[in-house]
Amino acid sequence: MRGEYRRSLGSGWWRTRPAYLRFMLRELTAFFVGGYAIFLLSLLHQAGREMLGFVTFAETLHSPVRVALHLAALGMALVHTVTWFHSAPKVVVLRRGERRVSPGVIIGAQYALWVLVSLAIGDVVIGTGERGAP
Amino acid sequence: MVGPDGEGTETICLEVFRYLPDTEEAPRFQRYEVPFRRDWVVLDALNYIKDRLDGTLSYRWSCRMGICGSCGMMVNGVPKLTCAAFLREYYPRRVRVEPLAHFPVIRDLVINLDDFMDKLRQVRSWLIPREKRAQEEREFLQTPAELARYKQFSLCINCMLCYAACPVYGLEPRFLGPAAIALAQRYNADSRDAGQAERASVLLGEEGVWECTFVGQCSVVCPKAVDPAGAIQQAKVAGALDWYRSVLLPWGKR
Repeated sequence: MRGEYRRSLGSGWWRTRPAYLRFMLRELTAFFVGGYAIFLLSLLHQAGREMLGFVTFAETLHSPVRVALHLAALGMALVHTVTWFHSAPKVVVLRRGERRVSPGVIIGAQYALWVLVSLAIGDVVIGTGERGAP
Repeated sequence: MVGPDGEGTETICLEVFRYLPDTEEAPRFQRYEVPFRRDWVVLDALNYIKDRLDGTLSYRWSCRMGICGSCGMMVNGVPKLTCAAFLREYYPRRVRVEPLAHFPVIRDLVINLDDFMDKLRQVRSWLIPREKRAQEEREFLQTPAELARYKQFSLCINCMLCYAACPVYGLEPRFLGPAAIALAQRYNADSRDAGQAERASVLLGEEGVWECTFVGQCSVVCPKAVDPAGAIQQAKVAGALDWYRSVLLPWGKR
C-alpha cells in the first residue's frame, strides 16, 4: 500500500493563473520604483556637488534609450501606485461606530493626497526652475 | 428532451482525479458522463457518479449548503465549494475535479487536513478570557461596535479553499496560512479576549504573517467573504505597531 500523494508547486506556478501573473507584475514594478528612487537620489547628490557634472549628466538623459527607460519606469510606477492604492483598504481599517469606512473613501483619499503632493512638488521644481537654481 | 427516468438527455463530462493507493501506482484522471441539469452543482454530479456509475469514488461532503466547509475541491483549477459550483457555469465544457491543491491526498478527492488542524491549535483559535469566571456569574457583554470588529473573521467555515489558492502555502507549507491567521485575528480583535500576547510568538514568528506576500487570492476564493488577506495585513500592522511601541516606549503598556 502506498502512502499519501503529495503534489509540489513548480517554479512556474505564477504562470498557472492570470491572478498570479498580475501579482508577479505588481511585485516586478517594485524593482523599477526602487531603481528610480536610487536614480533620483544619485541625481540630487550630483546636483549638490558640482553644477557642471550635473549638466553633463542631465544631457545624457536625452538619449532614446534613457527616454525609453524613463517611460518604462513611469508606467511601472503608475501600475505600482494604482495597485497599492486599491489594496490599501484591506490594510487600513477605519471605523465609524459599527460601520467600516468604505474602501472607496480610503482609495479616493489616497488619490487626492497624490494630486496634492504632486502639485506641491511641481511647484517647488517649476518654481525653482523659474527663479533659477541657487 | 427528457430521458426514460425523467432526466434530460444532455450530458456533461467530469474528469475526476483518482488516487487509489492500495491498488494503483500513480494517480490518474477518470472521465464520467453525467446528466446535465441546470440546477445541479458539481457535488450533485459526484453523488450521481458514486450512486450510479462508480461506488469506489471517495470525497468529503455533508451539508450541501455552504455551511460545513467539507466539499472544497479544485474545479477546473479553482478552489470551490462543490455544493456551490453549478454545472451550468461550465457546460458544455468538461469539468475537471481535483482534490484541494497543496494538501497531501489520502485517496481520490480526500485530502489530509491534519496540518490545518494543527495550525488552528498553534494560533490558539479560541477565546482566552481576561478573567476566568463561570458564565453564570455574569455574561461577557459586548457592544455592537465591539462585535463588528471581529464578526467578519468569525464567519470562516474552515473549508481551506484559501490555502489551496495561496501560492505561499504551496511553496512553504510551514506558513500558518490565511484561515488560521484570520481566526487568530478574529480572537485578537475580540474585546473579551486577552490572548494577543500568547498568539504573538506564532503569529509574528518566522512562519507567521510576514511570510505573506499579499497575493490576495485567499480573499477572492473565500465563500464567506471573510477576507483573510485583509486579516493578515491588519495583523502585520498591529505587529509592527507593537514592535515600535516596545522600542520607543519600552516602559509603556504593550
